[in-house]
Amino acid sequence: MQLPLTQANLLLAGLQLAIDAATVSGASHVDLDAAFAKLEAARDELAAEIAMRTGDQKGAA
Amino acid sequence: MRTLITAAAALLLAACTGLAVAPEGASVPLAGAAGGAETCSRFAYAIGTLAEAGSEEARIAAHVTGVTAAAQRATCLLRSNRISVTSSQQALGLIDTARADLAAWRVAACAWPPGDARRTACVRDPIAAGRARDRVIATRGLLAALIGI
Repeated sequence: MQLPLTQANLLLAGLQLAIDAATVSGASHVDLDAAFAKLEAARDELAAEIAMRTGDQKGAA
Repeated sequence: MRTLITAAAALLLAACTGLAVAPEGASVPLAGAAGGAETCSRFAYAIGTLAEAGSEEARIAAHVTGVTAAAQRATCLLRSNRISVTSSQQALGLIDTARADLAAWRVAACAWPPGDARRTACVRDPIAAGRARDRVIATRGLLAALIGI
């Protein structure tokens, strides 16, 4: 079935609204612990890279 | 206030730059850079992302993600010899500052999982949370200016 352009646009808009609603409702269940853990890992990786180049192990602590 | 405006402007610029970044490998590689065409641009956009809508947890998480991207980009740039060790040390200092302020914001906003004992016992401090958030935004602006562009 071929939808007229306006109907197709409405369908797309409705789909987008549904996606946005799902995104907003999911936002209340953000896993902050996981986000902070990723930050720690990324921070430690940078510190280790710096320490490797400077020979200073204090930065990795 | 001026610092905040400057930081916000830098962050906005970084976000725009991130959006306009060429696909990986499209830019000219630096001579002697390890990894050939590595530009580390895949981390640039996330450094500039902000989430001012949604829950407090979502806003904090967006900033944590931005700072994480900054750490990943700094590591990538350092490994490909595109920034100096001194600059990467400055970035690490800013990341540690942002990390401490993000933790302070989380405590002040009582952003603990539902059912968590810390959330039950927590007393929200919106003023402290707002100040910590402003500091995070300012630090992210400095990070964006240092390694985001």
